[in-house]
This record gives sequence, C-alpha cells and structure tokens, in this order.
Amino acid sequence: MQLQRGEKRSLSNLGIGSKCSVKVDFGLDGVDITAFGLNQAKQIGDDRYVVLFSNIRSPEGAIQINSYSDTATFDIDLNLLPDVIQRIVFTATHDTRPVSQALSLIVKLDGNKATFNVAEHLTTEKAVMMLELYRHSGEWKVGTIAAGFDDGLPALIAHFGGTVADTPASMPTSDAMPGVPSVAPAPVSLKKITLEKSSPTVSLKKTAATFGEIVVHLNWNQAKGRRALFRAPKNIDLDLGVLYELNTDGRGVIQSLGNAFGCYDNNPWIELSGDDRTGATTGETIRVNGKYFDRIKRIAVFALIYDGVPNWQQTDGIVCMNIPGQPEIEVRMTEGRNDYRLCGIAIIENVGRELRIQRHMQYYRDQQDFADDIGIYLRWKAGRKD
Amino acid sequence: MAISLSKGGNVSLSKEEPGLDEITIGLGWDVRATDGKAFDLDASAFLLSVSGKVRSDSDFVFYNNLTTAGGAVNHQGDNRTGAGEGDDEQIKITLSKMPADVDKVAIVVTIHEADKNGQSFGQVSNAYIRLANEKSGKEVVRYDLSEDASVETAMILGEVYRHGTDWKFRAVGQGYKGGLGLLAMNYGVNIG
Repeated sequence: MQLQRGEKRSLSNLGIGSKCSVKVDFGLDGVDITAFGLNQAKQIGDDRYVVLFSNIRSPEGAIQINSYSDTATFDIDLNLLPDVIQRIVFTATHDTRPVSQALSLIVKLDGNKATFNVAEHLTTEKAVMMLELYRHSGEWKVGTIAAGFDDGLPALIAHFGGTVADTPASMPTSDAMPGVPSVAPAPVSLKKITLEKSSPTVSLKKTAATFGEIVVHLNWNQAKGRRALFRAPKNIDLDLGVLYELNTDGRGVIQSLGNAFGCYDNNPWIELSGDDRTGATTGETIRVNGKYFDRIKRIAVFALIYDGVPNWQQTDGIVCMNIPGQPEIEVRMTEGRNDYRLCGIAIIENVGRELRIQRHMQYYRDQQDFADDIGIYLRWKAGRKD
Repeated sequence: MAISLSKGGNVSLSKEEPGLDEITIGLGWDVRATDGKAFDLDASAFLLSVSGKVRSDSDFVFYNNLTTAGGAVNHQGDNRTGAGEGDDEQIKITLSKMPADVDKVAIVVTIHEADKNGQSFGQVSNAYIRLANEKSGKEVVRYDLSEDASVETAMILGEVYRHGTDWKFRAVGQGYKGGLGLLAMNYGVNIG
C-alpha cells in the first residue's frame, strides 16, 4: 500500500515482522542514505547506531546497510535493538542539491508491503527525514515524514542533538557549484568535495607557486564488528597505488607490490608511505611533492585488492585527496565489480599548470589493463608480496 | 490518569468529577522543527440546540469569535505555531453559565489551511487534545492526534451534553474531511 505523508501505522498491521527491509531508491547522484538510531529524546545517543556507507552495521547487526549508487537497502532486525534505541529515522541528504531533485525517491518497506513516495512532498530541503520506525505502546510503528532542512546535513545533525565539529553555523549554503572548492581549508567531512558521477572533475587553480604536498590517502573497513564466533575475521588487504607519467618521458607505477615505493624528493617526486595490510592502523598514503608538480603530467590513482576475495562493498574503501588550502576531495568505492581486483579512482592531471582531478571509477582485472586503458604503456611482469 | 474512551463511549462528568463546573479544553502541539510552513492547529467549539445546530452564528467559538453566551464559553486565544509549554490553545467552558437552550457543546480541532499546505496531524509532533476539570486539573479524556489521527486534518473530539440534570461527555474521535469551514456549515453556521 501507498503511505501518505504523516501516516502512522503499526508494522504488524502492515504484515511486517521484526525482521524486515527498508529499501530506498533514488535518482540523483551524490545522495547519501543514512539510518539514525535515536534514543527516547529523539537524539543520537550512540554514534554506532548511525548506519551509513562508512558505518555499515550497528554493533549487534540490528541495522545493516548495503548501498549502491542509486539504491540503499537496510536489513533490520528490530528484536536485536537495545531498548535505548527507540526509533530509527531514515534520511536522505545531498551536499549541494535539494533532495527533491532525486526523482524519484521512494522508500519500500519489506518488499512492497508499504511504499512511500518522498520526493513529491519536498521543495528545497537538502537533508530530509523520509520515514521512521519507532516503538509505541509496546509495538513498532512506521511513520512517514518527508520533511527536513534547507541547510542540509549540519541542520539535520543538529536536530538530532549531534554536533558537527568545527563547522560554522554560517556555512555557505549557496555552495551550489560542487566542483569549485571554497577558500577555507577544513578537515571536516562536511566540507569535503565528493567526486561523483555528476561532478567528476575538479579544477584547482594554482594559488601560490606550488601546490605544496598533495596527499592521497586510502582507508577501508578494518573488519570491525565482523568477529565471528568460530572463525577469525578475514581482513582485506587493500593497496593504494598510482600510475604516473612525467612531462619528460618518465613513467611508472608506485605500489607496495614489488616495493615500488617511489621517492618524494627525487624523480618521480611521488612516494608511498608503506604497506598497511589490514587497514587497521592508518590506511595507506601516497604523497606527491607539489614543488615538482610542473614535472608531472598526470597521476592515475588506483586501489587494488591484493589478497582475499574481491568484495568492494565490504571494503568501504574511501580515497581522500588533500591539497593544502583546499577542501578534501574524496572518492568512495561503492559500485564495485566483484570480479575485478583493481579499481581506478581518479586521474590527477597537470593541464597548463592547473591541477585537474577527474573521477575515474572503473574496474579492471589488473594494473596493466588500467594502464593500457588510460594510455600509460609500461612493460609488466608478475609480482608477489613477500 | 485520563479515562480512555473508545469512540462513542460516554462518561458522566458529574459522576466522574463531582462538583465539576469549569471545563478546560486543552490543545497542544510542538513547534515545527523542520523547514516549511508552520503547523497552525485550532480548537473550536459549537454550542448546539436540541436540533444539533447552532442557535446563531455567535455560538461558533473560534479564533475570530473568542467568547459567547455571556461568558459560558471562552477561547483563550489563537496560537499559530505551537510555541510555548503545555496547552497551546484553551477553551474554557462554565457549565453553570450555559443557557438552558444549549443542549450540547461540540469540540473540534482542525489544521488551518491543511489542504493548501499538505498537512495532517501525523506530521505534527506531540499533538493532543484533552478535556480537564479546570479546578482540579484532572484530565477526563485525552486524545493523541499525532499517533491516532495521523492522516486526518480535522477531528471532532467529542460532545459535552445534557442528560437530565447531569452533564456527560461523549468521545467521538472522528476524523473529518473538509476542515473547519465545512464543519461549521454542518453545524448551521453561515460561512461568509
């Protein structure tokens, strides 16, 4: 059945049990779907119950998300939820655009037992509460909401009693050009530029003589919360690497495989900081010496599942690129192809002394396929980590 | 603790609350926290004769006509957002002052311009309407609009009516399409 806005019904009335699914389909790139587990006061009491692409599972597994570029599905087991979690509010947010542009935006409860068309009720909100599941008089109910905040995620978080570190209340909401970074540097995630299909290129005009140090960082799920009783968690070994091409004919690959770590202070002025085999510490980092950026023609960033079954959804991999004085740029590996081990992420190009970052979310069998595809031709031989 | 009345259930006010003379109808809701048009709930009362209609238009007590029948029914004023603690709107009824030809008082709650703004009670947080003994503060009935009338935009809470020398209350709890205008017309008010 189709639910109206504001409608409240008990789940049992809809034939929905304690184990159910909440599926959200959306037609706008860059929409983030989140489930907020809230306490009696409708506030976030415990961050672990905020389930989204970067925290895919509540501690006991009562709320789990599988997210893709145009849909997100939550598997819910209400009986597992601790009493302190009184409701789960499902939200849709976008950094720069009204969620109403996500035509359509539909929530489906447990298959098609109940559906709710959210977008038709929206206007200019950039953060929207779509629907909630909540405890009421000893049972679970569903309530549709379709209301939110023009000021987006910060306003939503504030509504839930959370704080967004160091984000000024007057954060420009007119930040309508997703590709153009604002001036203030900010380490907060909310200021991040996310390279999505809709805005695949970011151009960073050279502000001073050099770019300083360009840092490319890869982090991924550390198999947390996956401690099974009878088997050890299978850590995923994800490698960060780059293919590079210099203006003066040099080209190569930098990766932990074959100990090709590169060099920061000498040709090729790109260096990998070491090999993190579990993601448990700090992930992997590649630094590019901006002082010599004029010698570099382009850098192609990739991530590689070296060990373990390729399962990109499970990695929750996020690559962040930091350039001093610029907001962080991030690319998420959400649309994985599980039969391919290598994920091309972005290409950083030097176009007439202007640094340009292009999203390149494509999956390949290996480094050679990637290199051939983008025209960096190298001679390859098989290698293995020791 | 308020008595929970099912729809159509009756309670004898004189028995339940001996000496009851002044009744408070309290309507409360939370200010809208999200962006968008504020929720403007209105409590209104209709003084009805045995025919079930108002004696005259002034028997319709609402935000534009706060008092009638020599002060037997007083609306405490319009609240347009829900701002403030406790009841956001109140109507006070003094039974001993009620004219003899008033047989019952119907109490309704509506959302102002609900259709235009696409609003319903379920979108409003903590919306309720209650009937209480003004002197003791004791609640006779309370209705949770947010939960139990979620898709409605207007509701007849119930009727305070004469039964011999007694006053009784009948819980109606019936949703109503069409808003305050249509309700008023059905009770015989000339809507201009």
